[in-house]
Amino acid sequence: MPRSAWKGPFFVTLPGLRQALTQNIPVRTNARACTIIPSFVGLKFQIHNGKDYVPLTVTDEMVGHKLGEFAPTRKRFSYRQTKNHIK
Amino acid sequence: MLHLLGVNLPDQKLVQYALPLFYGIGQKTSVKILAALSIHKSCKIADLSEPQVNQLSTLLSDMKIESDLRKQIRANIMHHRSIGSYVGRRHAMGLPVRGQNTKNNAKTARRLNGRWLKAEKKEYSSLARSIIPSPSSPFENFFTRKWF
Repeated sequence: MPRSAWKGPFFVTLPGLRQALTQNIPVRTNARACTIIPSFVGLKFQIHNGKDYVPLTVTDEMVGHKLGEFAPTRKRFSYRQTKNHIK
Repeated sequence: MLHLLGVNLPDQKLVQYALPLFYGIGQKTSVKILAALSIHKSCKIADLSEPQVNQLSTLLSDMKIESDLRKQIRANIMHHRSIGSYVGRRHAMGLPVRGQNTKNNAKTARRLNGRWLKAEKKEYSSLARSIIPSPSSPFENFFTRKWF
């Protein structure tokens, strides 16, 4: 069940936001649970996925979603058979 | 054989069990429709009178069923795909979307989950996406939702 509307959206005050607005520097953040707010549209983010920072440019359609939805945390599963033959 | 809104309803079937043949109507909504139109539960399709059939078709055309519903579902999934979210990725890979385990037991998801995107690719490959109007974008939804 999504967050109740009466509580307001969950968002975080991001320190790099002013620089992002003026000079277009991407905002580096670990706050994956932060909701994307209309004032974020057009800004660039770098969202943590546990290891690296994944780049994202926010568009109009992303507004109700969270930052973490766009930074996958697991590597894609690929089956590689080991060369060591187990006899 | 009653032909209604693109679906054939066989005459000998009870109305209650013929209405779920529409895409988007299940047992619960079928019972609600019968209650709204005062049709008794053992009424068969052949026993429906002309004005009842007309009432039924007007009621059904106001509901979101068949192709309207399919379009909405496809649009919802395409939204996730176009913004590049986790949900869109899982639909594209044909894997469970809602956080289920995939070590074992993902058979239904693997069978069913990619199909809306494949249909989308075939149908809309020639159209530009911008032509399809979105009734309410997430941007507007954010403001119309009553946060406080």
